[in-house]
Amino acid sequence: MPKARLGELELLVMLALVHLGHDAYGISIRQEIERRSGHDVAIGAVYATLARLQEKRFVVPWLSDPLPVRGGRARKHWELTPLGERALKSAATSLAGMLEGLGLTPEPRRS
Amino acid sequence: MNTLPAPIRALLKLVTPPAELPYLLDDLSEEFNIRSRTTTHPRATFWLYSQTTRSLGPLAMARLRARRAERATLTSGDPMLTQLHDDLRYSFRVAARRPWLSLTIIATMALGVGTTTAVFSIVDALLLRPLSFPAPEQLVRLASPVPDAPAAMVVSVPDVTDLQRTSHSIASLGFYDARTVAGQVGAEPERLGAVLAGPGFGETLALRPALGRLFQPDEYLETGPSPVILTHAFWASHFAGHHDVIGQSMTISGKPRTIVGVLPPLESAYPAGVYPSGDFDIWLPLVIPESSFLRDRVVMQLSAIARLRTGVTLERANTELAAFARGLAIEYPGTNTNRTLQAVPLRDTIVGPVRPMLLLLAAAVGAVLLIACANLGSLLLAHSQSRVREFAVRSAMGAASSRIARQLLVESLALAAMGGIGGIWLANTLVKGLVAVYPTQLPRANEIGLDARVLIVALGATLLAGWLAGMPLARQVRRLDLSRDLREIERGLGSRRRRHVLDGLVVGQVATSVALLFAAGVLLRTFLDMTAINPGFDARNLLTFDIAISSQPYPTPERQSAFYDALFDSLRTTAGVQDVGWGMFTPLAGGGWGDTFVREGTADAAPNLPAMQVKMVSPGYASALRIPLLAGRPIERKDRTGTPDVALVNAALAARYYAGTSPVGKRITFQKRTLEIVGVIGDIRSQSLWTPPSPELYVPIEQWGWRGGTVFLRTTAELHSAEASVRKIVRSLDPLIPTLNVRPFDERVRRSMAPERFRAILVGTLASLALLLSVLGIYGLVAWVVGRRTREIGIRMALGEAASRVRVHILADALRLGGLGILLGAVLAYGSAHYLRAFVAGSVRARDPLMLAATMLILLLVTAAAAWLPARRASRVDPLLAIRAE
Repeated sequence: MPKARLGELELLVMLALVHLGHDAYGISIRQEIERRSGHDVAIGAVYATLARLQEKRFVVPWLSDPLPVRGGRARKHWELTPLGERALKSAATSLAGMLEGLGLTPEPRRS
Repeated sequence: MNTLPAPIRALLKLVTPPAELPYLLDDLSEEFNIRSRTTTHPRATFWLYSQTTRSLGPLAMARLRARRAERATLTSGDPMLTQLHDDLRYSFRVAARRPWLSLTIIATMALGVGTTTAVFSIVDALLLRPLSFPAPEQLVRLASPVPDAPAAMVVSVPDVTDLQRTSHSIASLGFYDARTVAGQVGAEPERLGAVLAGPGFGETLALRPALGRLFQPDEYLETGPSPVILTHAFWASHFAGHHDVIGQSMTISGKPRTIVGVLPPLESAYPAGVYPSGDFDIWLPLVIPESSFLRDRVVMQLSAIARLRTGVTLERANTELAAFARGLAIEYPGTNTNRTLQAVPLRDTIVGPVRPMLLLLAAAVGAVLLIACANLGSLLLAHSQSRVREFAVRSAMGAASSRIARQLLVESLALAAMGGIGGIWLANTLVKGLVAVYPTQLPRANEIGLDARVLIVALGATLLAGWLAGMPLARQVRRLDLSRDLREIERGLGSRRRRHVLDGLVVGQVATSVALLFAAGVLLRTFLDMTAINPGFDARNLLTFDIAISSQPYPTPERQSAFYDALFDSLRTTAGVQDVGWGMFTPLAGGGWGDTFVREGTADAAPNLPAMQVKMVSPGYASALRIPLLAGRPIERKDRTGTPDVALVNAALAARYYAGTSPVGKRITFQKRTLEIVGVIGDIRSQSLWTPPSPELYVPIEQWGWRGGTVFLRTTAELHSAEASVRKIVRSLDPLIPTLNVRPFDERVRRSMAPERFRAILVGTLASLALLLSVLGIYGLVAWVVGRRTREIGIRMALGEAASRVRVHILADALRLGGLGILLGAVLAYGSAHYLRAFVAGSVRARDPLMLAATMLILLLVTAAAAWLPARRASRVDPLLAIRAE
């Protein structure tokens, strides 16, 4: 299958999914991206990106149990598909290849 | 908890894909709430507005993309297929969940489609497909109907020869006849079916021989060579298809003949309609000597086939023929008064006799298919009650009612398709069976089979059946009112509309069953009536066989008489034999010819001559058949060539032409000979059991010199030993003479009743099938109603209603429906009764009121019986259990 190129936001969202594991849903993804990258991403952009990734079959949603509060609703969680994992790995590999030896890799931000 | 300001929500609702909106709002308010707690409210509000405004773009894009994708899936073909695939998978799951119901449906479908396909393949081969000659629509048979024999397909040679000279509409024509001859290829002589082909016969049919040639002009002459042409089948079976067969010699009727050609493998290459038993082996040239009686204008014995000129319609040809016949009548008033001439399409003469039978069969089978569909429709509908919840759930999940309806249609079509496959298999078996048990040999039988056309019809029948069966339910679902249907389920009631449709289906089934059963009853009565007819002779203990001697070893009448005298002397002295006679005529099977005569001393003159059927018989014929001698003496051995011509008449002739006086001693003239009537014998059924006796004249075979016929042997010996002694005697007299068709005469009688028996059995079977399906339909409906109303019945019984009242109530309900169906069916049966007219005879009437009453009564009883079981079950309902059950 042809390699689908990942956009920046797509890459960020997928990486956030990896970080968050079972806890990845709309707002937690947005927050994770903001926390780790410093980008204040609009929640709508996260939703749109997830929709695009779902179309590419890189991510799938699953519904959590309803929240244990009055009127609590199910949350729509997201996880990577095996296809998504492969795409992410390949993107990371090419990025690492490009960065190698440039001395650009900064220390991760701590918030 | 959603605490977002209204403008924000409104904005987001505008742009967000609907499916995502609730999650997005939840997410936003979750972080907004956290930020409200951790920072100041204005900052949180600012964050919220900034988030929202920045989200609008991407969300709108996402929504657009989603909508475009949705539209693409709706318009492209693939998702439809995916849906169909899903529907199919779902159908199989549903079917597997209720295996008995599914099997019932599949089996019913298989039965319906199978019978329909089988009958269609026969109707198609016989009635719809063109004959396998070049331009078959131009082929006609010529016939000269006379008032006494309107159906006879024979013509007079001079008439047609004159016609050929002057006709503008006929391109070519040829005379032909058929005959049984003794032929010999190997060691044993055998009986061969021969077509006597006149000049132009093969050319008119436009046959191209597979090998060799057709006959040449000089071969039709008395003095010409003696050729023979083999049919393809005979060539294959007797000469193993060897190409060097041309020029070889074979012996036919004691005369060596040269094989000059082999016909093409057209099985229908012989106009078999003339002689229904027509399996032909060879063609011989039809030789008509100048002195032959066939050249007499009064004699009509030959058949003629003609090819119309291109562009000439049948109407035009018949107008010309009629005018020509009128001209002949003026020119030859002595012979041609009242004689007409007409052209009948060849196809009609071949398949015409079986046509009404096939149409009856098609109608009966169609009715069974319809009943099967109605049955399945009601079955599916009744069972759908238990699926209302499923429909409700699917509808609540967003399935359009059209989508559910389509799913249901797919379900019923899938079941029908499985039934259809079974049906095709069944049809194959049925066709073979039907052809095998058909009483007379079906014309063109070898063309019958399953081919592409038949399979298309099977497919059509399957789809139609699936659609008809699924439609009632699908229509119901399209008008599904879930809240009401669910409520009705809660209350333990059936949907009222569904009930109406079910009622209609059951009424239709009962009505169709009444009509079919009535038809079966009428046909059965016809058959039974027939068995009760007194044929005028005694068929028991009578052995018959056919015999024919050839002209070569027995050239003179004296030699022939000597052979038969020796044969009958030997037969008469055989153990167990009481009487022996023979004749050119077999009762019930026809034979002999129609002719006119002049009573001596009367003013009998053309065209009003007395008419009768002439039969040639030997001494002992009447006594062997136990035909009573009413007056005078029988034909005796002294009545032979050289002695005065004598004749017997039957009672019908005596009554019609000698009313009040005895014909014995009277003299008549016919065929230019004067005969003395020496005796009167009883009437027998000559043509068929149904044909009432007509005037008949019996003349001594010895005085008229024919050389073959059927021997009747009244014997007390057991069949096998009698047959063996017959064969031994014939072989000892002349080893070259074949003895054929040795069989007891009552078997021939039974065979002559075979069409009526076949019709009665076949339509009876179909009617039973229809009845069975209707019983199942009624039972299913009543059981379903009872099941739905268990709770209501329980309550009523708890309130003190007697079990018997419950039973009566339910029975009355079923009988009301059944009664309506029965009344409709009676109307249907009477309305379609005239189609039965072709099959009834004797005292049976197509509109037999007694039979109709009996049919109605049977259906009423059957309805009651079918409703009884569920009614009884209802009356045994335990009120407590019933109320708790729902």
